[in-house]
Amino acid sequence: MTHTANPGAARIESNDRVRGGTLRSVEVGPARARVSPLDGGQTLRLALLLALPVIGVEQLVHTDRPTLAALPLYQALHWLSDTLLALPLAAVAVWGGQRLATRLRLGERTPPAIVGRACLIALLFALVLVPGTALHDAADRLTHVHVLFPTHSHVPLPSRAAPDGVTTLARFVTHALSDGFVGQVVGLPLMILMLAWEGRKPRPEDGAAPAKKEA
Amino acid sequence: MSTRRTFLQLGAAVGAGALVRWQLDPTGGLLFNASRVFASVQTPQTPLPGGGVRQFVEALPTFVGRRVDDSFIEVGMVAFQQATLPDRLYAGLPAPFNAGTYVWGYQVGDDTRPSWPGTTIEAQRGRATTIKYVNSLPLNPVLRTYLTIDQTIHWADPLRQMGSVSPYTGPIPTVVHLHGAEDPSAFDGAPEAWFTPDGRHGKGYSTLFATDRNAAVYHYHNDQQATTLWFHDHSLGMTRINVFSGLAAFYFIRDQFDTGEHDNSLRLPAGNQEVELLIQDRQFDTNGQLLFPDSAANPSLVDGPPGNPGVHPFWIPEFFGDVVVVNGRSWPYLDVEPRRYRFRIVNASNARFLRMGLADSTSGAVGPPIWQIGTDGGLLDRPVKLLGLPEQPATDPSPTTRLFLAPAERADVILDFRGLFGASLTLTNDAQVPFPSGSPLAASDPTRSVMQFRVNLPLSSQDTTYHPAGGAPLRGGPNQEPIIVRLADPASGQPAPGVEPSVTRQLVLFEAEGPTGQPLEDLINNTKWRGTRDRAGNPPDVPVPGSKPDQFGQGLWMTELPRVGSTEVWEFLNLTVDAHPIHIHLIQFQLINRQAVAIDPNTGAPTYTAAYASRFPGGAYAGVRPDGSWGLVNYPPGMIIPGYGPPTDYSKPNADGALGGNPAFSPFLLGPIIPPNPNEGGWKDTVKVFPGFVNRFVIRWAPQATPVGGVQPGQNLFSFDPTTGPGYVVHCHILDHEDNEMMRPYLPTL
Ligand SMILES: [Cu+2]
Repeated sequence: MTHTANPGAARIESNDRVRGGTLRSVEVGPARARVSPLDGGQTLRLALLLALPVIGVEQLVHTDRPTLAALPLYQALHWLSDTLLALPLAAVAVWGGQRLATRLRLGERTPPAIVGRACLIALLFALVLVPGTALHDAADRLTHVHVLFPTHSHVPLPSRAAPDGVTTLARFVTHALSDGFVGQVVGLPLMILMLAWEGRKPRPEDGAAPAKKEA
Repeated sequence: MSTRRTFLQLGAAVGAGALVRWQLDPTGGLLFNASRVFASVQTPQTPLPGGGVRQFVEALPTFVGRRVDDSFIEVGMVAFQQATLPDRLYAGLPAPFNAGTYVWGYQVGDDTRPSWPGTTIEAQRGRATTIKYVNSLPLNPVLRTYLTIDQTIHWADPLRQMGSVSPYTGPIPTVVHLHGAEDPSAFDGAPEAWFTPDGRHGKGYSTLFATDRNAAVYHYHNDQQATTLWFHDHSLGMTRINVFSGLAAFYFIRDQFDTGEHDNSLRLPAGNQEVELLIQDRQFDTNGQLLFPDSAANPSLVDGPPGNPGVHPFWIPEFFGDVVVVNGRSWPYLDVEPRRYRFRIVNASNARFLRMGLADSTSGAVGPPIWQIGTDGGLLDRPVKLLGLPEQPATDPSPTTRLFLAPAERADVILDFRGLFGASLTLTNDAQVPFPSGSPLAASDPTRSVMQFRVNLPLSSQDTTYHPAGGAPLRGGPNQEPIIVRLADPASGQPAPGVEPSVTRQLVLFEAEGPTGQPLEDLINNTKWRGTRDRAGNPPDVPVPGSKPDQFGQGLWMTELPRVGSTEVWEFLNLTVDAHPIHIHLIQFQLINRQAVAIDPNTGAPTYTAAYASRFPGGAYAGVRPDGSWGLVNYPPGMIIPGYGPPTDYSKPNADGALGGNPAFSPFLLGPIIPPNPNEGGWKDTVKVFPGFVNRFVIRWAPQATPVGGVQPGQNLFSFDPTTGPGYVVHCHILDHEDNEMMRPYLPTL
């Protein structure tokens, strides 16, 4: 587990693997802790704060006003359930984004570093929402969600040649990806705010030159 | 926090999310029911998934031996309860639902019970039938609380509340149309000829002689060829609800050849071997009651809720249900002998197209062919063999081996069960909903089955009936009707020799959409039922240029005024994305051909649409505002104004020499002429008008049997005067379209 040229990083990886995300640890030492200040609780908290607004935006984008107005309580509960279902994806994005930021030697307290981290998290979340969309569609089918929407999606005249599988998949991915990015319109600023807020919190390691840059 | 704990928390979140999601399912989720408390629906209903209803457990109700053939018949419209789903399902329900599904139906004759469909009427060619139709529906029928009546569409409106966004709570207007009949317009069941249980009348009301206020007496001459007609409700803006409720029945015209007796000279199967099949789709709720979606809180399982609730709170563009009902029974079975049977089929669905074949119920293997011997208006010259093979979903009028019926189309068919003793055969369906823009039916879709034939009765006598596989003609021989008078040659897809149309009309089918892209209304030649341009009550409404007012005081402006005795070609260019079954009253006509127009690869729309739009001058007319409400909209030049009528004067011929007020079609044609499918090559009163195609009909205002050249424009060969009365209609037979402006009045002239 310590075969890399960067033993510090390797130790974090090993910590991560063995202890499951306990990235901040006394064994690691203060310098490392500043690079990877995330524990499971924090990941979950950030993931929830990321998923709630992003899923909310996705739902708003895909639901017209009359449908929202017809069953407001249903829509709120749908939002809640989708957010909970998407929580693992958001957690993966938060955790992965933070790790990637660390790899890229981004700090965590300067505004550019915070923005960079938030961007990475938002980007990852948009990406994992692509398979997430497929799962969401499956959940919709299982629970008959389509019946609540006008189904006469009177799209352009059906093509006289049926699209092949690759085209269909490409269309799906493009659509899901663009949706994912639309959601980050709120996801990204919120993540920046949250990371800044988290970064302001005093921690045991504070005092060990927070402004100190990675070597 | 430990990794395990994090994962546990994530798992708990996912579990909670899944639980909430599960209980939000509209087919019975507790949270869905709870969230419905804020919704304003008349009767909250939980949809019953059709996939869970057992198929082929109840016998098909038939009318063998019960048909009514009197020359004077009283037909009542009655509310009652009928077991439609399997009996066992009702047994487990609380009162009053355990007594059956609330429906409306016809009570035909004196000594029969009402039923859905009503008992078949059997008329003899050349012998008139007089029918007194009585609207005996309750003033406050239970079904009215289930089927929300939208008062914002142009409808019968007995209480003069048009425009109200509240559900209608008054007496139910009804009027009966005998579909496919050559009849006087006074007895044609004009949309404005409705009457209510409490005696209110529409402006088009007529009766043969004075009668009860809640009734009308109609007189049918029955001069046309033997065929499968059907009668159903036709009240303005209300047809979809009334037919959905059960107001439909068959009307056979018999003649000296097609007598319905075993000794008929055509040797067609008769007696127990001649069976009507009235096929419809319905949505039920968990109480076994009809469900017609009126909001997201009352969903059907195929349709969505109304798409433009700010304009039409309860109107949906097409009704689709997930239960197939034949003769008022869900997925019935029919026990048959190993012999030939004749089935008289109508697709009486609101909007569902049916593309059918036979398959072995056990193995799924392709079953025996369907032999089509007759169309809407009578027998074909020769039988058409429909193999009923599995096929890819169709989006164009390419030939199909399946029996393909749009709403209101009929097929007279022979099924040959000989040699199949012990087999069970499923009548299958694979048509997309909507057709063709909808997704292909899933493999598990319950509407893939229609009904089942079980070949398990012992052979009662030797089968000596007409054998369609022999290909012997059905017409033209001794003791047969003469061959079809050809107005169009089905082989070449051209008008038949000697047929000289005096007028060609080019008409456009157009769908207006609301701000969310959902259909708002469908229009024939972009013209509303009244034929006026709607100025939302501000400046006076303007009649479409080239139209004439109706002479019956209905306030309608007519554009189709063909001369009686003349022959015309009507070309329908369908700019919408779905096929529309276009039905023309009074006459049987023939399909000449269909031909594709060029499609813009960027928009997927016909290139014609842009050229058409560019002719519109702009102006302030009624329409949907960006916020989804109805009112005066400023249309810029070059934008299609829904309901404006054609962009130019209807009566001025275009570059193709055609009336209609539209740019000529011919520069946009692309692709070969597609002749009618073999089973469309007969007399038709309803034809599928395919999207992206010009669909050409040849129509002659004369009795079917008149030879080519046997009638002149201005000459009336009908046994009645078709140029008077409230007039006839041409409309889409998707009932939800017909009800929302896709219908135009027309009247032959001298
Ligand atoms: Cu239509």
